[in-house]
Amino acid sequence: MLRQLPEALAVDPLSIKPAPLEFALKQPEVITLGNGLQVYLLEDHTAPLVLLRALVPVGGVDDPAAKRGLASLTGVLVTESGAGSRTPETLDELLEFHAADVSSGGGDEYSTVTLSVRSADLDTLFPVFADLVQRPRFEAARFDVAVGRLLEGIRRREDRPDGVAARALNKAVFGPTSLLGREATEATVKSITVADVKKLHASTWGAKTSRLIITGDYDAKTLRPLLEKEFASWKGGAPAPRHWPASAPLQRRVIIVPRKIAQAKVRIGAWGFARNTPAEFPLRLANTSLGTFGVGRLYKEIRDERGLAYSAFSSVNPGPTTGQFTAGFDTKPEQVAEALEVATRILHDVGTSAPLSPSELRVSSDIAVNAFAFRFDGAARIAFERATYDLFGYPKDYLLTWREKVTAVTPEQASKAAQQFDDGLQIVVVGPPEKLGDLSRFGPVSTITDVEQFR
Amino acid sequence: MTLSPSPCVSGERVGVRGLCGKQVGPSPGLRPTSPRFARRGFPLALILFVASIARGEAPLAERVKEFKLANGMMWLVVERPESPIFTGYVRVRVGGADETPGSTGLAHLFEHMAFKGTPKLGAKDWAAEQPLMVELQQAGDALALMQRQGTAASEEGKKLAAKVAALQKKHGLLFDENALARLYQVNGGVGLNATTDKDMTSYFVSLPKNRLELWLTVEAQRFAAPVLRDFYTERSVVQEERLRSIETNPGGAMYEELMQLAFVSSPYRWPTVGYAQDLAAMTWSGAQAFFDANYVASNAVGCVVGDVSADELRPLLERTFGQLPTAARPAGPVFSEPPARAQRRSALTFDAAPRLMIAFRKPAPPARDDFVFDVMQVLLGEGNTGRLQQRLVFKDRLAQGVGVFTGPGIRLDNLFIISVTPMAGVKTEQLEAAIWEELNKLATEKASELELQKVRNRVTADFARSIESNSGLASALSRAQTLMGDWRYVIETPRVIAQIDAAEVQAAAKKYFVRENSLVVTLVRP
Repeated sequence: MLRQLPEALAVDPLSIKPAPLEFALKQPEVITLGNGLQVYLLEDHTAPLVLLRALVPVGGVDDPAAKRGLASLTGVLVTESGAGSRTPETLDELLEFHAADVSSGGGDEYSTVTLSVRSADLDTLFPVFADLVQRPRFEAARFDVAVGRLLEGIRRREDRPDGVAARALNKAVFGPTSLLGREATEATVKSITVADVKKLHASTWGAKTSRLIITGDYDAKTLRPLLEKEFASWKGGAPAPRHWPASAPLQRRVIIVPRKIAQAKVRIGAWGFARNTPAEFPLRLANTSLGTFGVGRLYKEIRDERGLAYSAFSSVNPGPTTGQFTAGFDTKPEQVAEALEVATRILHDVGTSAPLSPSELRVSSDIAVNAFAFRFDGAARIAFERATYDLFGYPKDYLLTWREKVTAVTPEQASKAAQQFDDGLQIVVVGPPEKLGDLSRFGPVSTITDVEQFR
Repeated sequence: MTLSPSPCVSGERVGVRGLCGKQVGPSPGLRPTSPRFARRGFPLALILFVASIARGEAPLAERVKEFKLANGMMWLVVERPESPIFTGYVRVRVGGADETPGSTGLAHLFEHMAFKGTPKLGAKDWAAEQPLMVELQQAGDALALMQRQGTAASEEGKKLAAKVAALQKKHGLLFDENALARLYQVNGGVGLNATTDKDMTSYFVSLPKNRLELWLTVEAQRFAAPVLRDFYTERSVVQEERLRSIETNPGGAMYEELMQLAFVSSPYRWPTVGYAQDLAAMTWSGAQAFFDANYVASNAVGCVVGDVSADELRPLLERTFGQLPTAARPAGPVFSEPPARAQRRSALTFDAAPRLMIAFRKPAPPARDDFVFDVMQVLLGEGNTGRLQQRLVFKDRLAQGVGVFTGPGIRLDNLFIISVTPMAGVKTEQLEAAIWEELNKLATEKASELELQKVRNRVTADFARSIESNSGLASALSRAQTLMGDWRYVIETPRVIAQIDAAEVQAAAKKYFVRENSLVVTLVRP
């Protein structure tokens, strides 16, 4: 019944020692135009395509409370509502005839515009890119369509239980009305006018604070004059003042969102780390040892040993304030308590009775260091990553010294840092309450029927 | 045909690892810009002739190197020295369509089992492990049979279940089931995963270039002698995967319903992830037999794209995959679908906002009409200027979004699918009427030359985009080689599409966009 390996193949794969890997850490060229616009350039001739992107530091956190959704709607409309001398219809026809891919949007802290063109079309479409970023028309008919689609999206966001869980956790960790926890609602979107959109774009999108990222199959000699011609006269770009109130410590709790579904979604949240702080390195390694596929303690026990879930994972991310740690799994409602028992025990013990072993930490550190080459996979990725690091004020050598900082972390440091993943856990369970059993041993239980009403 | 996987609304293509959306390597950890309405809802991802994939480089056709091993396994290599990494694919021409009723989900479950190691990977005591596994399989499969017969709750069943649990516990001490995944991860593997669809099973990962020998060794080992450790636990994991991708996902549930409605006897009828009852009663010996029949070298294709040299690869291939025995290639499934004489409709009850899918039966590639459907997919569904977007989203404002795609596979006759998310309060009849009007227009009026040129441009550019990354190119080449028998299909397809004229589009629209060839699924709240 059991197959055996052919003799020539019966080797221990762990005995295969790879040759040392050396490679150059490619960096984009960064130039600043006379008006303050920063441009990141990196050629890559793998495919006959050029990728044009703009990164503008305006996002949902800058929205007035009563008009949440404004930055997001503005971001969408930049490429949907006509630009320069072109109506929305002629703009769409032009871009799509040339098979250009265009998209734009507003996230929490910044907005982006992306235009992918065939290199043969660069001369024709570069001025169009400049129009999109600087001179969107925000025509009323397209504004109405975009508002309608956004409202429909809001109506449908209750349809996917995993989406519901993610939203509830976000509110639980950051505070439901905080800048990072709040969300657009039907009422706030309906209160947005086309004049609001125009005003936001005119006052905040501008050369001083924005970045362009241009990568791919272009020729530097012909691109420079195009850049000057189309972007040198772009004005403005006042930075949006952002005030982040101090974050109150989290109090452990269980939040149940009742849904009649055959599989419950469980998400556990705590703080991550603030951007550009040394906490990053021990927390990243601890997180890998906890929640990475095939390696992490959560994955091994919840998925492999007990077969309770398709996946049990964790992630840790930086943010402007506390950042966020998330652990999660989806399981049958009757199994939630058992899986939660395991998860909370693992998260508690890693910082106390069961610290990370040197070999566990070694595995996490090898994963990080050996996969580092992939951060230099292609010009598009290299240049965009660099631009976002600059946007958030990381030091210039951040990536260059990243591997040393990872390997310097000790098991003691990582385990101590992991105590944070047991601090004031926010446990969100989306599922049928009657089948979940009593979850009060994991923290005081409250129920929210509608995430939007979470206060 | 569409050479890239169908969109993820489907629930048709399932992956082993539950890695979706998670990054394995270091991440910059910036909060991503939230996705907006997808400007292009469903990527068409094919395939046009590109004279050369990059300025100054030889045409793609000249850069693909082929190695055929003595056992019949085909390998494709493209050298791309730009970054010190490579992507490797191993694809096997076996998928959900190769199963039989009663064992739906077997191909996908086996794919999960191929992550559990080999005699040399994950074994702590191989000599002790083997007799224990024989005992465990006998008990576990007997219990599975009782499950199927509905007698597992009896005294005898309970006793057997206790025996299985005890044996599993004992076995658990003898192996490390994460050895394979951990080995790839600590060696810097990125994107480690596997997928199963109706047509094939695929294993892939990207690694630093100095790990080529390691990758070939591990992949050849698990192809030659995968050890199906922890079979019964993994079966439960797949049941959870089904709950996640279909039972709690309106898009997945709707897609499953559409396939059951469309096909009466074609193996495209059942979902790749399988039915819950079949999964609960799946046997270890059944999975092993499925592997023995289908995982033969002549039924598989390998592909490497990246910073590797073909000269370095050849001897490594001989030493690894070249060691697999020679065996006949399985014939594959047969399409046996009775002709459709009536429109079929279904209203699926699901606690979510309404949705609509309209689908039409169509032939599989390389039928000429399949190419014509590629053209119609762009005409109807691409970008803001696709006819259905124009009509439903911008002009009539009936829909939030429209997607047009093909599914669930390409080995057998399949479906052309239009998927719509209506705006609140819009009646299904109203949407359907508008869609039929646009389809009838295609059947009665010729498309303009400008529109057809737009299609050609789109296909060229999307092909260039899809093969820009190592993984994209490896995926496209190996997919065509596995399913169409020749990677050159990716180059031939565009030539065919470029010849298709307005009259041909009109004729196909007239032939296929008729009531009795259509299927309609709506999603309605309870």
